[in-house]
Formats: sequence, structure tokens, C-alpha cells
Amino acid sequence: MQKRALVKTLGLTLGAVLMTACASNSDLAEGDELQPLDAAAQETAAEVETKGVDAQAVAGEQVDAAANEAQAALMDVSVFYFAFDNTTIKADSKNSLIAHSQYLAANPSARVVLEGHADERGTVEYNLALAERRALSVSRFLKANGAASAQIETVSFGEERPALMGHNDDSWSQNRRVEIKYQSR
Amino acid sequence: MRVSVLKLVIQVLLLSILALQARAELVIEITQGKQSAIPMAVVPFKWKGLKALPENVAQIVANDLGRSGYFNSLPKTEMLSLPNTEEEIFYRDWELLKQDYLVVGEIKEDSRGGYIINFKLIDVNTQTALMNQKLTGGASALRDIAHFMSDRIFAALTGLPGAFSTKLVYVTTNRERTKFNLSYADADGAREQNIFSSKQPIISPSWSYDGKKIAYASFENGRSEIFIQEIASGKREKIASFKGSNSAPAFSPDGKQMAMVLSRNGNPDVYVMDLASRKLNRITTHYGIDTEPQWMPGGQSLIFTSSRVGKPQIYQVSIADRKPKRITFEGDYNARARITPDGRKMVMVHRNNGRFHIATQNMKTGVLQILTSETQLDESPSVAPNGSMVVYAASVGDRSILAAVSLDGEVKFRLPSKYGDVREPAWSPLLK
Amino acid sequence: MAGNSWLKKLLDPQSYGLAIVLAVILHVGVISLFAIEWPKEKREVAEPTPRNIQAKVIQTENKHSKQRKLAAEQRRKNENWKKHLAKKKAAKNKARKDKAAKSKAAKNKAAKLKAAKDKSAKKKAAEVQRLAKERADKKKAADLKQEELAEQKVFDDEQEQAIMEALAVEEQQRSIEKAMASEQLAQKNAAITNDIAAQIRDKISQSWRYPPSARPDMEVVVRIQLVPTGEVIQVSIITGSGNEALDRSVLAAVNRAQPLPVPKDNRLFEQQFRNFVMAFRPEDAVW
Repeated sequence: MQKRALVKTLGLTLGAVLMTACASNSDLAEGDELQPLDAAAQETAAEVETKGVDAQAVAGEQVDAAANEAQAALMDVSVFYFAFDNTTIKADSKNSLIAHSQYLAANPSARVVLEGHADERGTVEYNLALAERRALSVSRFLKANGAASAQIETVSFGEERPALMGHNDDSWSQNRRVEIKYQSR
Repeated sequence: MRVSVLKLVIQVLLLSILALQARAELVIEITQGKQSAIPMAVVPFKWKGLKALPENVAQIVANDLGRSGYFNSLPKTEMLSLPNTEEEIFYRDWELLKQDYLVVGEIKEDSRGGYIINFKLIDVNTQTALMNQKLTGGASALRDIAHFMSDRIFAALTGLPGAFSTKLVYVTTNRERTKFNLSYADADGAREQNIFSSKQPIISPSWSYDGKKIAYASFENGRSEIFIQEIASGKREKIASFKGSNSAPAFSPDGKQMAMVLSRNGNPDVYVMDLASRKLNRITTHYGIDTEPQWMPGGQSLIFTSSRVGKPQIYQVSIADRKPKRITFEGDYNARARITPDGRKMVMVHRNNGRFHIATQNMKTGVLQILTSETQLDESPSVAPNGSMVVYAASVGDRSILAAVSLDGEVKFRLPSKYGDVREPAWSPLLK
Repeated sequence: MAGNSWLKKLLDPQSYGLAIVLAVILHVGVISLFAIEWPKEKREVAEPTPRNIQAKVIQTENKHSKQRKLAAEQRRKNENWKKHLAKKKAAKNKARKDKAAKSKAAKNKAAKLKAAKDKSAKKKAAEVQRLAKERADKKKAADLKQEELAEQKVFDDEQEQAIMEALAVEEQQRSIEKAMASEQLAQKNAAITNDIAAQIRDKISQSWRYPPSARPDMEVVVRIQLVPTGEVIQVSIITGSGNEALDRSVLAAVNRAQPLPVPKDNRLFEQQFRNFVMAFRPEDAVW
């Protein structure tokens, strides 16, 4: 069962990568956490690259700098948020996650720990499992976009380490998260 | 002549029928009564010592019984007289106050500085003593003696074992979540002490059925691992540290196995470990969340929380066939179920109108009853070993506290806590 | 005159014929009175025979009633199919009851018909007598001179016969009335007993607080001895539940509820209430 699911995941991932590579505009369903890229992400990525190409005419060195800067800016984002009782990666998280994937792919010695967290609502153990699945969700996304399994470790803290201490929607939305922590660059 | 014979025959016949009717004994059947708390009074005990007693024994007993949900303890201020012996009781006072039972007693100092407590449990209706006992103990044991008294009185009047001499373990943390303690206290929250402390989270403490050990998940090594700690010696042993999370330990009733949740294969599933051989038996295999296993009485099956239908619901699975069967159907969030000792009711976290409360479900009829309403974000219910009360964690203001509710939802109280947030209570079994 | 001869034979005071017939009629009548009316009576007068009491006490003050209502509502939501099943069953029961009622009605009707038939038979007999008398009169007028003495004798015999028969019928009527009267008294007493028993049940039910260890299938049977003021002079357990706390709760409930309601009629008190049995079952125990 799980093996089949894994094969399916890989198949889907490959297919999706191919499709996006062909600059297809097909709308991929939001909420399908197996999707590594969606059209919007591809467009944004293309925009970044397009800027790079425009700049290339001026100076080759600057191009790299700009691209690195863009990637660095995306990689500055290291916390990704989730909906209540949900482990699906949000659309606005994907660009940054792709940047992290690309960095990991380009730097095989880099190592990350993905820390999953939940808000305080619901039971402690269920939240531990939920947070773990959030971390696993991100892990699958990174791997689908070029990171190697050996580079990623996941850990769940459940509801034990909230980012904000409040007992309200604002705090809760900040607490349902996965944090990417680099162990080595 | 014939006619009069006939008349006689008829008369005899009729009379015998009527006589039969008249002689049938009257039997009145009663099939309904009340399930309400029994009114009783624990009269302050006589003490003639020079110094004040370290504990108010009668008050502890009155509080114990009152908190059980099965008794209404009459406040001292409403008592019309304060007898200390059976001879001093003026029954009309207690009949007037509609009290069913009375506890009277006196405390004396013994020659070695300890205490002797004589007490009687009086049935006001029959004006007889149901219990007449003498208890002795050192100065530090007064509270234990009081809880012991409560247990005896409770058992005599309810037919259930008392659970006032039992203990709680729970987790306390500071607001910054930089210090975590595993705390140990009396069932009424008194005499708290820390039995383990860490800078990393501690979750899911759970008792062995002999009351000698506690299992819990600790993050001291960067992720959750399962430890067993002996209460008396404080000795710890790491039981499970597989890849991923190791958590939700639950000792089997015979103490030989432990149900737990491992994510060693990527997804949290329920396993049973043989504690002697450390061999694992995988119970659930599903891509959803399977967690919070709990043994059913008898140890033949488990109940657990699963998100296999999308939202958490409670399932039951027999160890033998491993085929989970869903048992909760009301609402879209039912989790962390616990079973009462008689197996008749399940206590769990239930979400109703977006609020998390403690609910019971009758295992036979499936009828659900929500027990709590005043507190918020109720979680971690744990049932007293005599099935009378449930202790749970809840949010009040911006603090997490421990609260208790009787299994019929009638009696509610909060437990005192000295330190920060209090979470994850676990009620001990009956201790010998 | 063939018809007349068996009638004569029947009415002959020297034979057992009349006694047998009347005895049969009365037995059938009395038995059918009980057999036919009993079921109806059983519902109205439940008390005299044990195990027939089904009256339920409606509790006015129960703090759990609200919860139970809530629980009931949830159960309703939860187990629609069960309810559906119950409905089906109820419909079946109703059909069965209707059928039973119908057959009972039919029985009643048959009984009435039979009564009417009996009546008409009596009427016929009277008519026969009247005709016979007429005939005798005519004969007497025609043959007065020749057969006066003989005729007179026959006439006297017939007269006597008629009077005897009328007397017998009257006597029979009186016996039935008497039986009916004592039956009515018994019914009235049973109704009072029923009423007082219900009052006792109410009062003790209100004062019965059962312990949390009580289970719906437990039963405590006690014998209660009263004095005419309703004061309990003794209550003792005949059959205990095996649960001491439950047994004690029953004794306490009886003691707390006194004085118990008693009938004004002292004879009825002596018959039913000086010494009686109560069975306690905590059927609504949910603790």
C-alpha cells in the first residue's frame, strides 16, 4: 500500500515537473500536497529568471548576484504556516520551499531539520502527530524538488513549543507551522 | 330445596373467588429513584491538644466526600450542634437538617507524639453506627489518615471503592516553556512534588496498573522518546527511541506490554511492545493519524484516535484481528478516549460548536453527554480509578489549569497549582 | 304437546333437571363474567395480584431529567434506525392490540347475543305458559260441567308449577345481584388499594436515593409493617440485592418517607396495608 503510494507520488511528481517545465498553464488543484509546483509558482520563478536574463545583457556577474539575492530573499522565509487540523502546504509557501529545495540540491552537504508544530487546540498526542505530518509534508515537497532524503530530518513538537503564547486566532495561526532549520549550510 | 342448595353453591363459589382476591398479598414495585448527592455532615472532631493540629481532618474528609459528586457535605456554619460522640448526638437536629449520615469523632495525642483518631459513621435514619474505627499515625500522616477515612466512608455508603488516597501526576511548565516538570501530588492536588524536570517538553504521563511506575514521552534528546520511571526510586529507563516520534505510552492491564505510537515508518501508527523482549507488534497500518491508544479492561483490545475519515474519531481494535471499528459518530472531533474501570463509559475530548470539552459516551447505547462548559480548550481527561470523577486540563484566562468533573457532570472543581501552566494529568490506579 | 312434556319434566320439582340446568347456566354466567370482564378489570385494578403493577411514577424533581432529556435527544439523533425499528414494532403491537380489542368486542357481542337468546327463550317459555293457560281456560269453559274437578286439578298443578318457576327465577336473580354487589365492593376496595399503593410508591420513590454502584438489574425486596397512622414499625429485607449500599438506601427511603399514606377504611388497612411487600429496582440508574 505505502510502496504503491510512494511510486504514485514519484510518478505524479515527475509528471508535474515535466508539465511545469513545458510551461503548461494547467491549473493544479490547491491542496494536493503531492504537487511540487503550481502554475503561479512557475510564473514567479520565471519572472525571477526573466529579470536575470534582462540583466545579463548588462553584466554577467551582476546576474548571478541578483539571482542569488532573489534566492536568498526566498530562503529568508523559513517558517511555513498551515490551516487548522490540516497538513497541506499553502500556495504562498511554495516559492520559498522551492528555493530551499534548489539550495539543498545545489549543496549536497547542507542538512536541514524540519520542525513541525501545532496550535494548542485539540489533544496533545493528536497534535504531535499532526505536526509530524506537517513536517513530513514539507519534507516530501523538498525531496520532490531536488533535495535528497539524507539531507532532511523531521521532528515534531506538537503543541509544546508555541511561537506565540496567546490563546487566540492570531497566536494559533502563527503556531501551526513548520520551521526549516539548517544544521549545516 | 334444590334451589337453596344451588344458592349455596353459587355463594361459596363467589366467596371463594373474592377470598382469593382478598388474600393475595399487596406488592408495590418501585423502579425509579433519584440519583442525587447524599446529604451528610462531618462534624469537626474534638481535639484537646495544646498546639493546633497540622491538618483539619474533618474538613479534609468533608471536602473529599463533597468533591466526589456523590455527597453533599453540610458546611460547619449550618450545623445546629457539634457532637463528638454517638451519645452527644441529638437526632432531631440532623433530621431537621435532612442529613442522612453523620461522622463524629475525636483526636487525641498518643504518648509518642502521634495521633489517635476515633470516629463513627452514623445512619441518621436508623440512629445506629455503621462504622466505628480507631486510626493511629504520626504527625505527618494526618492527611493520609483523613483520606483513608474518606475512602472507608465512601465505600460503605456508595458500594464503590474510595479513591481519595490515590495520586495524580501531571506536567507543569513556565510561561516561556523553558522548564518542564513532571509533578506528583495527592488526588486533591495537595503535597505536590517534582519527580522529573527538563528544559524540553514532557508529555503523556501514564501509570502502570500496579501504581509503581510511570511512562511518559520526553523531548530531552531533541525529539519525543518513551521513558519508564519508577516512582519510589526515581530510576528511569528509555523504552522507545525509534526514528521519528515515540509517544502516547499506555501500560497493558497485566503490565507486560505497552501500547505506543511510533512514526518510524513515516506516519504515526499504534504499536504494542512486549516489555520483556522489546518486540514490537504493529496494530494499525493507515496513512492517516493513529494515536492515543488506551487498553480496554481485560487487555484484549485497544481504543485509539484516528483521522482515517479525515477528522479525528475513536476506534476500537482487537489485538488479535487488528481490524479497527469506529465507535464515535457524533461531531467532527473526538479524541483521547479513556475508559471507566467498569468499561461502561468512555471519556474523551469532544468538539462542539468549535469548543473543546470533555464528554462521556455510553459504550452500550452510544449516548454522548458533554460534561464541561465553564472551562475552555479542555483536554487530557483521566478517569479516577473508581470511575467517579474525571480530571482534565483546561484553559482559564490565559493559564492552563487542572479541573475535575464528576462523571454525571454535576460536580466541578479546580485543583490548586503553584506553578505556571499545568497540563496532562494522569490519575493513579487504586494504591495498596 | 311433546314440547310441553320435556318442559314439564324439567320443571318437575321432584327431578334434578332444573337444578342442573340452572347450575350450568349460573356457572357459565359467573365464569364468563370473570373470564370476559377480567382483562379489562386487570388494567383498572392492578393491585390485588402481585407482578401486575406497571404504573410508573412521574418524578417532578429530578436534577438529571434535563440531562436525560438531552441524552435522549442525542440518542434520537444517533439511532434513527433503532427508532424506526421501534416504530415498526409499535405499529405491529398496535395492530395486534387492535385485533385483540376487536376479538374481545366480538366476544362481548357474542355474550350479549347469548344473553338476548336466553332472554327470548325465557319469554318463549312464558308465552308457552300463557298459551297453555288460555287453552286451559277455553277447555274449562267448554267442558266445565263434565270435567270441572279434573280440569281444576290440572289447572292448580300448572299454577303451582308457574309460581315455582317464577320463584326460582327470582331467587336466581337475587343471587346474581348479591354476587354483583360483593364484586362491586371488591372492585371498589381494589381501586382504593391501587390508589393508596400509588401514593406510597410516589412518596418512597421521592425519598429513594440510590448509590452510584446501583445497577438497573438489581432488586431489593422488603416487608413493611405499618400502624394505622402510616408510621413504619418495621421494615426488613426479604431478598437483598447483594449490594449493601443499595439495600441500605432502600431501608432509608422507607424510613424517610413515613408516615406513609393509608386507607381510611380500617378493614382494608388490616387486609392490605398492615403488612405488605415492596420490590425496589433502580431501573433508571445511569451513574
